[in-house]
Amino acid sequence: MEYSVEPYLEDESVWEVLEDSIPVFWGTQEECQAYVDSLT
Amino acid sequence: MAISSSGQVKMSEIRNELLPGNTEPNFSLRSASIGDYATINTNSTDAPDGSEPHSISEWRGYDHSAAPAYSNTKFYRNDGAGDYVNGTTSTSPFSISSSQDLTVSIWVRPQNTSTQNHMIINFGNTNANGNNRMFISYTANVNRILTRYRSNSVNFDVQWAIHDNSTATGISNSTPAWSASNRGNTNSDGWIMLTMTYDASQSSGSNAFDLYWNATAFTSQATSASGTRTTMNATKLRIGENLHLTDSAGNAHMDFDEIKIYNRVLSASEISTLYNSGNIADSSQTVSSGLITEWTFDGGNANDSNSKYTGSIVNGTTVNY
Repeated sequence: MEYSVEPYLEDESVWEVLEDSIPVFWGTQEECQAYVDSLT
Repeated sequence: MAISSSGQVKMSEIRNELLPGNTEPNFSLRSASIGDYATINTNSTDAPDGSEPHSISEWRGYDHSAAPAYSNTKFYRNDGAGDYVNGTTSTSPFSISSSQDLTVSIWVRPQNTSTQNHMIINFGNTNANGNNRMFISYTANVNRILTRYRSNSVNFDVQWAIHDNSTATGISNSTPAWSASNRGNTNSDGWIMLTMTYDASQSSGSNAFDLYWNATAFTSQATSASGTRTTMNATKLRIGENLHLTDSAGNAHMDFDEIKIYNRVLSASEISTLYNSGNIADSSQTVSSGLITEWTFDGGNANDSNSKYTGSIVNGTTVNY
C-alpha cells in the first residue's frame, strides 16, 4: 500500500492520509505523518 | 402505428395494425387474436390477453411493433482482486467544473466479508495520478462515503458517515463496516442505489453535493471542503478501482449495475423514480432527461449506451441474474 500526506483543506489547517489514494485519516500534518509512521 | 388508446376501435384499424396495406374484406377479429394473421406482440402493454372471446375494447392502445420492455439480465462483479471497468475517450462527454451540474447514480452490492475501502467510481482527465478526478468512494475505518471533486491537489467535497444517516441507510453503528453481511437498507436482492448530485453553482462543497441511499437523501455531513475548483475533462473513467492504480487497497469488492451519468441535478422526486421501488431499471424506464450515458452490462461488456467511452472489463466479470 502507498501512503501519502496531503492537505485536506486548501488553507492547510487540516491534512489527510491517503491510502492508495483513498482518504483514511485526518488531522494536523504531524498527526497524519504519525499515523503513517505507525503503519509502515 | 398503435391503435388509438381510447374511444371507438374499428375493425379496419386492427386490420391495418396487423396487416398494413391489406384490404382483405373478410378480416376476422377472432383470427387476428389467435395469430392467424400475425403473432400478437406481447410487448404491447395493451395487447389482447389471448383468451376468447375478445371484445373490441381489448385492442385499444395495441401496438404490434411495440419494443420489448427493458429486462435487466446482467450485472458487473468486481471481486476486489485487480478488477475494474476502464473507460477512455478522446472527446470528453462532459466537463467537471464550477458550471457543469452532474448526477451520478449507481447500484452497488457489497460482497466483501472483511473490512476494506472501496473506490466505487471515479472519472477525470488522466490515469497518471490521483489528483484530478471526481469520485465516490468508501472509507471503512470511519464508515464514510466520500463525494469529492479533486483538482490540482485541492479538495471540494463532502464526507457522509453511513451510521449518521441511519434513516436512509439502516445502519446505526460505525462498526462493523459496510460489507456483505452489513449492507443496510437494500432491495430484495441486496442492492443499494447510490446517487450523488453535484450542483456546480454552489460555492461550498457542503451545498454542492447531495447523496441519496436508495430514494432517501442523507441529511448529516461528517465534514466538507470547499477548495478552489479547476475545470477538467472527463476523458478517463474507472469503476471499482482508482484511475491510476491496479489491485490497490481500495479495489472495490462489490457488484455494480445500471450506472447513469446526467448533465443536471436530479430532484428528489426524480431520484425516487430512478429507484423504481427497488426494481433496477434503465433510463428509458425511469429518468432519461439529461442522460449523458449509462452502463447496464446487459450485453456482457462495458459498453455504455450512448457510446461516449470505449469501455473494457479488466479481470472482472458480468453475471446473469
